[in-house]
Amino acid sequence: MQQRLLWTIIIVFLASLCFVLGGYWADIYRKMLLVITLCVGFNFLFGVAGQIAFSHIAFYGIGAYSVVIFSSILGWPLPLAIFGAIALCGVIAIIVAFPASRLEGFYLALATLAFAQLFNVVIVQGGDVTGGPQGLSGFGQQDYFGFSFTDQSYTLVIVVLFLGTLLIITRLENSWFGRACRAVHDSPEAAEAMGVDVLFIKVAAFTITSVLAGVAGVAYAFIDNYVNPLVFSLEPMFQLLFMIVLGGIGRTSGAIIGAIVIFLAPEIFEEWVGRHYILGVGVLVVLSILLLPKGVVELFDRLFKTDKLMRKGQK
Amino acid sequence: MSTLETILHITGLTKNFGGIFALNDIDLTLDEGEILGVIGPNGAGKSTMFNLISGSMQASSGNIQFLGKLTANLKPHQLADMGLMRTFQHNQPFESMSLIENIMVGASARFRKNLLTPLFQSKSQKERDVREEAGRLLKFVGLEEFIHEEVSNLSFGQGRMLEVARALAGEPRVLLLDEPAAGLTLGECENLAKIITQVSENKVAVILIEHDMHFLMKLVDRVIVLNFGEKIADKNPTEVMQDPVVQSAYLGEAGGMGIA
Amino acid sequence: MEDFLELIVSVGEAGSIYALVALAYLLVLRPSGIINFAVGEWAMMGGFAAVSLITWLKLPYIIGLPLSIMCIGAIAWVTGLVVVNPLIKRNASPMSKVLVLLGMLIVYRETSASLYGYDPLFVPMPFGFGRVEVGPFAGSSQSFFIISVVAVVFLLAWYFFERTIWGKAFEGVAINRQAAMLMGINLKIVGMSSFISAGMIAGLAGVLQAPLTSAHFLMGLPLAIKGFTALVIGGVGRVEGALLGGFLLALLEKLTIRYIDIPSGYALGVPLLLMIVFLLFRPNGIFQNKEAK
Repeated sequence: MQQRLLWTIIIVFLASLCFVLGGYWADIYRKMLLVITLCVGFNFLFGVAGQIAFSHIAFYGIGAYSVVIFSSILGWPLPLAIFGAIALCGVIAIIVAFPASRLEGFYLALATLAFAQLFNVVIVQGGDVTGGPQGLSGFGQQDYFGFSFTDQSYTLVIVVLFLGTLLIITRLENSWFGRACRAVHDSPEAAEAMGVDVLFIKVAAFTITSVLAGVAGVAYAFIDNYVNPLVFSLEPMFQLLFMIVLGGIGRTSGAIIGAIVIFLAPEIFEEWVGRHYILGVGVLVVLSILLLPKGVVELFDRLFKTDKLMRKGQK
Repeated sequence: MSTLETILHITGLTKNFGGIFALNDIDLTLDEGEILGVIGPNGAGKSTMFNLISGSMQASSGNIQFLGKLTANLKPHQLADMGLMRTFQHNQPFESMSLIENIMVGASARFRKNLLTPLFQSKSQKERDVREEAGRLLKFVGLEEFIHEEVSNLSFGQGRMLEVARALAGEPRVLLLDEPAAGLTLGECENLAKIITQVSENKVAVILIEHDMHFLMKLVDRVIVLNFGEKIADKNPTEVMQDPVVQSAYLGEAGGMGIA
Repeated sequence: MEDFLELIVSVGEAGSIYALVALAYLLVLRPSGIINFAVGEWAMMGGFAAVSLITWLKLPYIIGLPLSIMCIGAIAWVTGLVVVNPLIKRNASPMSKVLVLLGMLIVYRETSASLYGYDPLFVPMPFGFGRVEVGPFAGSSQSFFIISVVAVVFLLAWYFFERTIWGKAFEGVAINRQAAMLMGINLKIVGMSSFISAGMIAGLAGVLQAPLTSAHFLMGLPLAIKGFTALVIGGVGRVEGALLGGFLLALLEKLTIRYIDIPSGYALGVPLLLMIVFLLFRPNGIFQNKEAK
């Protein structure tokens, strides 16, 4: 019961922020929610399933670019464009997942890094189809499904998307699938001997998280009605990595904390130190690996553990 | 007297590594509830045989039938799904998970790759059942006091028992134990023997690779002796001990057969 | 034909730089199993050191080059000491060492940008802009300079690994740390010297590259990626592999641009495709002993 109450409060809070925040901060809120969504998915792939996949950001981009290309360049009705974009992500994800399953550790990291870079090359060279280095813009409509999306209601859509992703990831993590992913990560030979279909698990983990990234990408496209290659490059991908390192690898709550901290850092610090806040992030990441290897979430753990101890003492 | 089901039926099993026969023309039958010991000097092919049976290696020739089905092209996880579970010579625990979760992985096949149910239900009935059973297995192998421990904090012997519990979670018809008594204290050995006996009484067939003769001989119904990839004996423990061929195979091995 | 010979020289120039970066990876990877993505930034800082010493302080190349290299060597040494050593001491996972160096990548880049700004900075060529002809090969003086310097470096590296006790010690540590330690090899010295030498090699790559394309705070990552591709292609965990890989990569790149009719932007995709193909089909044992997870 307590859990349900907590979740209801969180949902109401997140939703109400949609109507309370205006203009600039609403934009930050929307983008932050999408980044957290990406981070939660990436954390599952990297921290739970143990796949170092730099391709995550590429799928964010595939989702965003394809929904725009399908709807405004090919002229498909929006629902079809969205479905098509997500389906495309799924197809590409499965195609990549099979060879990827044969690679481990750093080989996988490099192959997926090359894939992400290739995606970047393709969209930068894409000429009129992808808008090249400048990207595509101004493609938004006012009416979707005959319903006019205001700023605020679109934010609500993103809140729902975030919560949906969180639900999927959390449920999967706590199920037989999450255990199987961890088992494959810890010891593939033993996992296989225990009845875990290692190939299936690897492909499923990669595909599911990549498709979730693609869905987030679809939502991203319509935030500013603008997509450009920089958003889907290696730099933001490294940021995602830093977010989960800071927050706590393998912990969903850690991913959320890390994402919020690193995403909001420029908002808070850019005024004082300009671009140098990036240096701060780098230093923070290095320090956290050296001093807090289990991430910031470990501090919270200790807080709550002492809490539990106190309660036991009282009984 | 009811007929026992044949669990494993192996004929002509051979594994050839580029000219070197790790296993040569091995025949073996195992019925439900039987406890079979496999002994032999180092390098005799015991672990190779396990790997062939469990599917992690393909045989060069010969047939393995598990529950009447040929296992030639089946992968380890498919065999595990059918009820073939094993432990390893070197402990391979899942260090990122709790003891209970480690055991629950053994029951993975039971969830039938169902990704939809977990999405709609946070704690399905099956999940609760498997968790409960994992708790019972933890108790069965005598590790319940460590339930909140980190897997990496377990002693070698305790880790071994965890592997046994994990394998049992797969509701096995046959259990392959690779040197389960290695590194165990006397008390732990007795505990393990009790567990194996009880498991076999539940009609699970057990194959043990062991070097500890004391432990093995009191426990098993039958012993197979391998030497240089060949089966040189297949009898009950007493007969095997007295077999001159077996004895000469062990002469030169430090301590002989280790039985006073 | 002349065309092709000129291409060879240009391949030699680019390939040499990639080979240096690949060597810098190798020097850290072999003894300690750490993949140091920050080598690109070390190269970048080498370029900036050249800016300070050669462009601004107008020191002659013969002093400026070694000095720049030593600066980066020092930075690498401090990094190893302060950031990597504590992780080795507490037996941290290989992943955390890679991640910490990724963090340092950002630190190096942003610190350099703060000191040198965001615009490309000029570094003069040691032998000016002249063209040179060596036998049938013609190219810029810088190209030949780079090729000769790198040839010397690789000769020394080969000699070190194949013929000296220290080189054997490196290999020993690469193969089995425990055994090496028990044989009396000082792991700390091997570790530190591997970092310092990797820093110097990477710094050298930057100093050689800077006159061609200017020193710029973003020049590190592309070099890091190409260097790693060269390492993967070269395939063997040996010095010769780095050299071979560098030249093969450069050759394939230049050939694609010159003879295949696609927009030049797509040529950037060549090293990436190669990396994927090689990783999938010919991972070829650079990491045979170093399966880091």
